Amino acid sequence: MTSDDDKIDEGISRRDAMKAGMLTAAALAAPLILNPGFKPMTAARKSSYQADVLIIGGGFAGTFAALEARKNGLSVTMVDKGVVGWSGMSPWASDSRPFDAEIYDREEWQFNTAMNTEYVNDRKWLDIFMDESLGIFYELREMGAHNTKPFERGTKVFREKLENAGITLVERTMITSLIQDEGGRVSGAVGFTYDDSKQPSEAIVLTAGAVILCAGAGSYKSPGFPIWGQTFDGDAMAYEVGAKIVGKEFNDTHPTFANIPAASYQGWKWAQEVVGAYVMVGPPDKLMGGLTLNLALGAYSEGVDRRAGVGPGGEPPKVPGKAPPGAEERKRNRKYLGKGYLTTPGLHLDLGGPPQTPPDKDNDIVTGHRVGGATAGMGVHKSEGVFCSDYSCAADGVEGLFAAGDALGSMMCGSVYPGRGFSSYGSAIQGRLAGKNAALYVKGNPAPKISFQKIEKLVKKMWAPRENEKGYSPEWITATLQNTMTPFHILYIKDKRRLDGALASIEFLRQHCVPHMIARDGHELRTAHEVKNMLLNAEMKLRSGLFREESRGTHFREDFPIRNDREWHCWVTVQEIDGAMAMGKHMLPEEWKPDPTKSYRENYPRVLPGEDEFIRKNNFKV
Amino acid sequence: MPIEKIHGCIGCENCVKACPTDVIRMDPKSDQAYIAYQQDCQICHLCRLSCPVDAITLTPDRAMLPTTSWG
Repeated sequence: MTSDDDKIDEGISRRDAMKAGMLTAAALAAPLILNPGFKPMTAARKSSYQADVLIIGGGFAGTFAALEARKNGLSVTMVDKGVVGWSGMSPWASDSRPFDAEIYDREEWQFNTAMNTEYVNDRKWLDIFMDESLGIFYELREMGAHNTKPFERGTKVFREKLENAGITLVERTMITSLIQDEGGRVSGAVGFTYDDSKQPSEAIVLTAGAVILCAGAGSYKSPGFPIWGQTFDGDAMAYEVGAKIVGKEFNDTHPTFANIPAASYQGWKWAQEVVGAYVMVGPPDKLMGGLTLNLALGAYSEGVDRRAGVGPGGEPPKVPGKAPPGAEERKRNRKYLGKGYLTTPGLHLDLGGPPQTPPDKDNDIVTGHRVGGATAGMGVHKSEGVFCSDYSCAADGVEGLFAAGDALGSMMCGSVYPGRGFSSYGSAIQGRLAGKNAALYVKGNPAPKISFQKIEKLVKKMWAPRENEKGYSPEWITATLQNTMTPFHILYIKDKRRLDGALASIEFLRQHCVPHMIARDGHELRTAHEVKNMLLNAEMKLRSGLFREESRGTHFREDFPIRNDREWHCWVTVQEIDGAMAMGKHMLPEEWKPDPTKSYRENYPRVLPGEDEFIRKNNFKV
Repeated sequence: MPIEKIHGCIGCENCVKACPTDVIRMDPKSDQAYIAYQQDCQICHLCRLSCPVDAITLTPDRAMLPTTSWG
């Protein structure tokens, strides 16, 4: 596969002059609020850092990328929006799915993963995962990650490793743009320190021979799942320098608990304590765990039980001594999960002891009942982000830019997250690969020539919301974005008219409100840039959802409720071309298609609402 | 109100480091942590877990933004 395979449809989203004129008229009529913290930023301090490799994001991918680049003898700076090891997702380090050839069957993993992800998962990335994951498992054990309390995996194990390797950490810094040199090569990033409690915000300029984006995934920041501070920052910055972004039409969904929606240490304690390998394989209609579209489809077909206060994916509060509804069904379905579902004794024993439990003080938390539909807008792990077609982690078409983990659209998990434990280990594997290839790139190329004026321009753009005297608050824009994108009938149960309607609203917010955003302080400036990134991603998600005129995995179109392998056995990419969001198709190898000797229903056992009727009515050849 | 109060802070800054959404800041005068941006709390409990003296209280009640046409 090469990027030449891509077919670009440039006409789909071009914004014409008439539209711009209409928006200007709307701008004049719209009310604006005053910025109580208006402040010219021309005198703001600036700190600069230079290194061979810049890593953006200090989670699982970033840690492995930084250590690998350092091992190759290069200087490394790691910049993080929070504090490395403290505010990120590293506690999930134990949730593993290493492939052990002595226990598992390689072909079976490939077959089941392809079937569960509806044949658009990248099989070569899965091969790489199967080759490397057991090594990561032992490496983590050696680092001490397994025998540590979850909260200390990041704060102690990862952080100390980075510090001991001599990696420069720049923290509590919101990165807003990538720097490109005169030839367009990515050669750094600009951002700012948002914590202005002790001293005013300052601009941070980081230059490097190559940049590795490890900025994670995103959601719309609703308090619904431990996605925490991730707001698609990597995808947004990569898109703005011309990278292709892939996988935006697929969306994950999770259940959570009403009282502690984002508290992963309590609500998702089981995931922190898992050791060894989990394998969830089998027919997609039987794959349970809340990781498929079944939950959203439930909301569509069954409605929400208001008496219990919960919807699909939810459960009423637990009654002591009584099994929760659906428990029996879930138990029965376990037989579909294939061999190796339970933690394998061998790997478990390797850990040298039972799983560690979080501190006792967690246990007094009242979780509340389970609710469904959390984490709206989060993509499928490893299947949304910067597109790389040659397995090097280098962004297609953009020099000097690499990506790993959830910032990389490796498509390893296709259209549905097919199991558990792919994410952390996948991030580690890709981080290491990106670190190695970025090091090779830096060694093989002369230093970039960066224009001072260009940096100044990016810095000025970054401060703009502080310098706007009146406009719209990021808080209001975020709430409007959440109300537009969160309901299940937009991103999960899709239909052209509804997608178009949401798109019109998101486009208006992007074109009219974003340039007029106000920020009263450093914190609000951070949220301003975050919502700008979330809006760009909302547009990508809506356009990708509109473009793929079929249903597959977590992408369900009411108006096209069928899988159409002839036209849509592909990945959908978005890329900025001449200021417009251009859609592209990246066709997949013929041999990745479902088995032609089997029937449609054997290949796609999950029956979609309206599917059979659509096939009959349209005489659709399946 | 997701994060409700910080009482008995010893100024270690752990909660500031752990918060993924910049809700908690250090007061430069008292050298104690305070709740600066409560509206952005996602109720993730990382602050409470990282506090060595159990000074942080969270409640499950969320403050909802008023619904307005602009703002």
